[in-house]
Amino acid sequence: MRLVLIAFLILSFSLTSLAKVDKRDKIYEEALELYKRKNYFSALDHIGKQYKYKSPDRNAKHLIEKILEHTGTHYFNTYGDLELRKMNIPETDLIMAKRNFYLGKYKYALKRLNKIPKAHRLKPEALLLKGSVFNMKNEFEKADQAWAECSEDAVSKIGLQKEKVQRYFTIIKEDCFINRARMRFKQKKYLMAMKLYDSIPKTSFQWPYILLEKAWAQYYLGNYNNTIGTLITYNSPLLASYFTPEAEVLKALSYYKLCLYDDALQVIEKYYDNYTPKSNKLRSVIAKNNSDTYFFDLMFTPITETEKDSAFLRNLITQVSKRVKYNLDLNTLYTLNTEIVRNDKKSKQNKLAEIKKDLKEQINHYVKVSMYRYINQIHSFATEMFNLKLEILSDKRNLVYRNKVSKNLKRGSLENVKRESHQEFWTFENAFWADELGDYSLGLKSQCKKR
Amino acid sequence: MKSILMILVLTCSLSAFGKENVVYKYKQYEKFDLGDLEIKGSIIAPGDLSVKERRRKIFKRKLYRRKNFDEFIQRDIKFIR
Repeated sequence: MRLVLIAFLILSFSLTSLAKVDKRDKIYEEALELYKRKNYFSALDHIGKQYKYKSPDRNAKHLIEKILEHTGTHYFNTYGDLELRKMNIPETDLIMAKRNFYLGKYKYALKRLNKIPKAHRLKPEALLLKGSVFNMKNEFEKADQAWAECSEDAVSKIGLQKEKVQRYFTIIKEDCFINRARMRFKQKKYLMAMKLYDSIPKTSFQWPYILLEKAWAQYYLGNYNNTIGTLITYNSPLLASYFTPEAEVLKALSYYKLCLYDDALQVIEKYYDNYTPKSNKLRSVIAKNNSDTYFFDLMFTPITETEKDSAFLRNLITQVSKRVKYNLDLNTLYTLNTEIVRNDKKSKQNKLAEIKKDLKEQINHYVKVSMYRYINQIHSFATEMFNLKLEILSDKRNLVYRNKVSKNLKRGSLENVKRESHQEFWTFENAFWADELGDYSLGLKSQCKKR
Repeated sequence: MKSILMILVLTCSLSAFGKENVVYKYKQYEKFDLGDLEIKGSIIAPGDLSVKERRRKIFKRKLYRRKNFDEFIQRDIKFIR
């Protein structure tokens, strides 16, 4: 009797597990069918929810990765850590590593990053993150190594990709290179940082952003004329759309270091005159926020309309629209729309509508956060400007007390320009030339010794 | 006894009536010739007037300094995905 009972139990257990395997196989087959019919998002949802609490087998993993090449990874953004861990594929490992990185849990971030295979398409991005983790831990040699490897790997993957994918790898390559310069800056090796910054070509996507960083390195080297000169590049019409309030603070600080107090005060006043209406404009834009997709819709407002309303707002929108993340998300949205419009009989239209709503909300949130960040930057740098203004006024008062106010200050001379052996300088003729951008310098004489 | 008391009261009241109001008068104008005054003693004050300059309080504010670009590194990662 006992034997019969045991045999019955074993039989029922094996039957249920067989049924489970059958069910999983069935889901895999269905997902594969959806994939073959180009219903990528339907396929992802079909197979993805099956493995929320159980790790997928090799075949399922392979299929999920193939689907993700079309859909992007945004689907997993709403997954919790436990669910992502169960998925156990490079895409989810990268998401988890990023989450841990932002939370300062570097050990876990590294653990996830080390699982990403060398030949995987996400490897360069993983190496970019790995270097950043080491940099945060002040393990500079390891960071440098990871970033050097990242640049190389990204270059090898640019190859014969589509233009958009090429851009993705190019930006990763440049980021890794720039980060090496940033790391030298952190180590206070400013000359070394300058050399690395100088080797970044002006055609690089990131070049306009690194001007500010280069100017900081020059500032700490005591080359205040070069600092101001580099920052003046942002005044050229070509870079007018870049948002750089910090550059104004650095410019004012450099004038202050040269004891050119009136010039510094002028920069400060200009900052207030320039950024107060911009801040007000941004405030009014944020205050209008009247729907769940308000910021998403803002990105699609015709250029003529936003430009008429505010050129500044238009520029900010342009900046956000240039980012890789925004473009990847937008690409996903277009792929999703195509699937919805195609309306294949096997596709899951209800689920697709849900995914679309979710994706639009994610893009909306991203743009919203960017806008808030812009306004916060204006305000925080206004505080820095105010501090500097007080300091300048205090120093000016001391000069009056000591009766040492200089008159008839002589402006600019090439003698005051610090230059490297390979550099040559000409006088500025009120016109910005593309090949000169970033190489400007002022020739102002410091007034500190006189005083 | 009564007669003694009467005499005492009478003498007291008479003495009270006898007091006159005294009016004090001060000089309306008085001239001092300071040059003519002589003060006895030795001079211990310094010969010339001098004021010690107060040490001026120096207010130093912490001006903006960028120590690293870690936030830029993080920002660039967020720009990618």
